[in-house]
Amino acid sequence: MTVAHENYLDFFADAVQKNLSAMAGISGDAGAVELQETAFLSRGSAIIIGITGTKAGRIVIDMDWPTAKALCDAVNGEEILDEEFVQETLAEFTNVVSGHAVSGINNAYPGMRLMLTPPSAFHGDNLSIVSPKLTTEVVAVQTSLGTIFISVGFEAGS
Amino acid sequence: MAKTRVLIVEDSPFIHKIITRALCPEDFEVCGIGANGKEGVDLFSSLKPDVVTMDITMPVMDGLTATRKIMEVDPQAKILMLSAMGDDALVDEARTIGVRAFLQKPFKPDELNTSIRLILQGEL
Repeated sequence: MTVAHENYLDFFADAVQKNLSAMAGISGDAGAVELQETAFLSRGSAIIIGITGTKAGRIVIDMDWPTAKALCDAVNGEEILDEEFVQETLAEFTNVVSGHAVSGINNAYPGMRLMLTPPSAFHGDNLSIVSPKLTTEVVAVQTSLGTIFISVGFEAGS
Repeated sequence: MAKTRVLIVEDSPFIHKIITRALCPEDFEVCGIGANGKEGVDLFSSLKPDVVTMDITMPVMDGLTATRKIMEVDPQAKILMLSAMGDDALVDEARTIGVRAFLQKPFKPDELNTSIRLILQGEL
């Protein structure tokens, strides 16, 4: 089964916008899908989830730390001072977004059975993310809290 | 009247907080938290909860495998699946192995409390 990657990105962009509203009470505007280099520098806070099943790949939701902190506070409805809990919150936000997106893909394409790995959270300066075996695309979602970047890559030929 | 004892099987501390806050305190109490499916299976045997909330994507052992193991121990176990995923095939698989109800995250407190009450009443 061949499906253009940008079609997959649509599911993720929709899931981010839907769950920004459901979990944080804010809206988001998704921009155009762009090809991404195999290596890129995180803006400061990145959550990575693996995709397994009939296609292999990974999802990265990336944003700068002020955006991450503001999003966490909005999701929790209170200011969160514990840095680890900020990352736990963003990990679950990414898990929900990814779950909705891959469920939408699974329902839309008969025979597709994608599953997810538990999320991993990274925070720091000069964090480089390298995915040499993946064809990766990225979409930026503008929100009132800052910009959220969704990068989705699948193994070439998978 | 004794409160319903709920076992949470979920790897996310954020969701631990959400579930604990969402459960109606007059009716429910959290009797334990398992951070992965294996811990959930072990805690089910030792705590004998009235209801289990079960995530799917977890380290060590996923929620579908943990549910199968719990159902081997107690075929009458009352398990509510709470997952970010919710595609038709997954929901069907969960129901086939004995899950009573399936809620896709994010869920509202009312949805969680109502689902557990309906499970306890035998309506799910």
